[in-house]
Amino acid sequence: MKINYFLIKQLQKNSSFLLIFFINILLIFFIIFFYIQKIDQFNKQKLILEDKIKSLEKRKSLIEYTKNLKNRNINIELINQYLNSLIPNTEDFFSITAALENLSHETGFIIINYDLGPIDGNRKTVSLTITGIGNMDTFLEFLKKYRFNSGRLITIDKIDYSPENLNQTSTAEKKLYLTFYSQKNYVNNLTLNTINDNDNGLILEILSKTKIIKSQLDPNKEIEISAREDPFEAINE
Amino acid sequence: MKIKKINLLSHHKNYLLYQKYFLLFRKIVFFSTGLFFVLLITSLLIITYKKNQVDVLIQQEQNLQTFIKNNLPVEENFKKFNNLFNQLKENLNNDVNFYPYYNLINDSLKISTNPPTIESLKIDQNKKVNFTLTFNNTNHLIEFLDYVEEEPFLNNFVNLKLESFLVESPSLLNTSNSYKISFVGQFKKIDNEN
Repeated sequence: MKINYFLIKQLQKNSSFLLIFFINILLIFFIIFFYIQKIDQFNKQKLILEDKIKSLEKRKSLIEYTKNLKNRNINIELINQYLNSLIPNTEDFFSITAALENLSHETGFIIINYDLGPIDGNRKTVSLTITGIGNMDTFLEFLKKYRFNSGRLITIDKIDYSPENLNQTSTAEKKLYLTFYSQKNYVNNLTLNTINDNDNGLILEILSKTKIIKSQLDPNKEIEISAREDPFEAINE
Repeated sequence: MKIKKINLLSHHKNYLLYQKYFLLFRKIVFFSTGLFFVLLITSLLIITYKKNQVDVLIQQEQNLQTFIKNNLPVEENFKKFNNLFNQLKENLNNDVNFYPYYNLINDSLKISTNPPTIESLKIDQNKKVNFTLTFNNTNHLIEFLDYVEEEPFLNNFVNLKLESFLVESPSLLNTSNSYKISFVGQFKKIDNEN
């Protein structure tokens, strides 16, 4: 084999360059690798943080929105007390009885008969047929007030109003099919459903009409509830 | 074996060629060193920039966490309200909400000088309505029928049709008839039913 002395001589002469060249190549690869890894790590971290921030921003705007509601004279804490009474956490015999008594007392349409049966605390609705006695005015008063005035939310799916048997003076019996509700499972919903004018009207109606049934008050909260002319009285003070 | 001398006369061409290649190689080494520094500085700048971005986001996240932590009761109250209020609205869909619709019919009867009487009024949760009115006078009946064909009255309904028309005569001798008209249809949902 023929030895290439020129090449050997040149290699010896440029050995430091060769070394630097290999080190450079290694470092360049290392930098590229390190760069890609770091950038990838930062991008992933950034994406995770952006997602978290987005969700936190949502929660923040929800909190700010809730705080701003006070400027619109809407006190969420107070409204919750009313909503808790209308739709209690669990169903109980007492609050249904109290609601029906409240309604009789307030409308003059006397509920004389209803069959509650055993109450299952896990059921989210309780339906019952009531029989009431009243004249046309008291029956209309009942139809005007049954939804919120009793302290419990009551719905009636259909009404047959036939005043032929009811007049201003004479009284007659009337059967009605009422439904009561209790709270469904809590949905951890972060969607910000803003309170529009219709909702505002509904809240105002609830606050002005509902008389809280005491058993539905949150025992941890000390809040004084009394019938008031101005439903936002507590807030305005 | 140690090289003592090289015959430059005989291998002159080869030597120049190698020398040329190695000169080129040295330039490549200088270039690669330059490239290394350029890459190093650029990547450090980009990484620092990215890190700053992440740091800003971390700071932002921490600020938000602190804000939320300080306002947890407010958030909890709103969540509770949101749940209960949505459930209330959902439940109210099962309700007929009779009174505003009764008022609507009742008010429309007041346009007549001698208003008819409501014989029956049935409304269900889907706002389907069936009502019967009694008139004691033909003129009042015609006056009312004219009114129900007008926009202000019809605007309250998705659809409304005359289901029956009945003339009742109390006796053969009695000339004053009574008229019963029945309508079926569906109310438009009143925006604010309260």
